[in-house]
Amino acid sequence: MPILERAFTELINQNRGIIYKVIRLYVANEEDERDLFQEILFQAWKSYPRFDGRSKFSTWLYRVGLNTVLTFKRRPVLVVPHENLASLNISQAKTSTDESEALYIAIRGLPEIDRMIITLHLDGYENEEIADITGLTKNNTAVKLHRIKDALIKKLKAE
Amino acid sequence: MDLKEAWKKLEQKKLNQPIVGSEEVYNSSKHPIQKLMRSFKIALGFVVFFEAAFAYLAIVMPQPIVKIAMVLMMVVYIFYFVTNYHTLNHIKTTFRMDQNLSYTLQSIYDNTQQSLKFQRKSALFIYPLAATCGFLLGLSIERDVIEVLQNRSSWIILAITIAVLTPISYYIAILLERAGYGRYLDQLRGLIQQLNSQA
Repeated sequence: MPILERAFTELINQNRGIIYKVIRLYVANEEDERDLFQEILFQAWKSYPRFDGRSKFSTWLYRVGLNTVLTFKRRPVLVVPHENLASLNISQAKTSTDESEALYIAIRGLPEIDRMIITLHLDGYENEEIADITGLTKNNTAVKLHRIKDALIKKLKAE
Repeated sequence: MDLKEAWKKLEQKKLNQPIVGSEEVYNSSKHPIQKLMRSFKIALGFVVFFEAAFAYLAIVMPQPIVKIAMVLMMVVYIFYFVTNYHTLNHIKTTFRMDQNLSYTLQSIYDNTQQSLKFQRKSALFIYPLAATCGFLLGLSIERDVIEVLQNRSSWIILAITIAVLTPISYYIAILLERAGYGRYLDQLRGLIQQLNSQA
C-alpha cells in the first residue's frame, strides 16, 4: 500500500466515529448508510492530497462528511418529520438513555444546516470552528446556535 | 436535561456504532457532480472520436475542397474539446468537499451553465458550417464538387439543407444536453437553493 494511502487509512481508522456519527444523524436506512459511508471515504480520499494540516484531521473530516451528506442524493423521507415527534414520547424520557434517545429524535427533526451546527457544538467545537466548517459567518453561527439550543430545550421540556 | 451529557450517551449508544456491511473502497462515487464530470468525459470521448473520423476523411477523400472542409470540422471539434476540457478541469479543481460548500456548488453550477450556454450560441454558427461540410462530403462521393457548385441549383439545395439542418441539429443538441447534464445541474441548483434558504 502506498505511503499516502497508508497514512490516510490510519487517520480514517482513528476518526471513523465522525463518519458514523454524521451518517446516523442524516440517514435513516441501511442502504443509504452504506452508500454514504462509501461516498464520504471517496470524497475524503480525493481531497486528502490537499489537506494541509492547518486544521485537525478530525475537523477536516467533519467538514468533508457534512458537505458530502448535504449534497448526496438520499432516498426520500429520511428525516423524522416534526409532526411525528410527539408520538415518539420525548416527554416520557425518564432515564438518561431515554434522554439521549429524545435528544436524537429532536436533533433529527431539525433542518439540515441547524442539525450540523448543533452537532458540532455538542461535539465541543468553538463557534469560530463551526463557522469555518459550515461556511457561515461567526456571528450568524452564534445567533443560529442560540436559537437552535433554545428550540431544542423547549422541545425536550415542553411535551 | 443536560444536552452535552445526553449527547455523550447518544454517541456511545448509537452514533459511534459501526455501519454494518459498509465497504472501504476509495474509487466509487454516486455524487451528482461526479456524474456531471462523467458526462463531460463522455462528451470529450465523442469529440476525440469525431476528430479522428474527420482526420481520416481528410486523408482519404481525394477532392481538395472536401479535405479543406474536413480540416475546418477538425478545427471546430478542437474548439469543442478545449471548451469541454476547460469546464471539466474547472469542476475537477473546484469540487472539493473540504471547502465552503455553497461557494463550491455555485461556482461549478455557474461555470458549467456558462460553458453550455457558450457552446449553444457558438453552435448556431457551427451547424451551418457542419451542414455545408456534410453536403460537400456527400456530393464528392460520386461527382466533382467544384463542377457541381457551378450550377445555381446546387447552391439553392445547400441553402435549404442549412436552413433545415441547423434548427434540427440545435434542437437535438438541446435534448442531448438535457439528457447528459440537465438532471445533475437541476440537482445542483436544488442543493444551492436549499443551502441558501437554510443559511
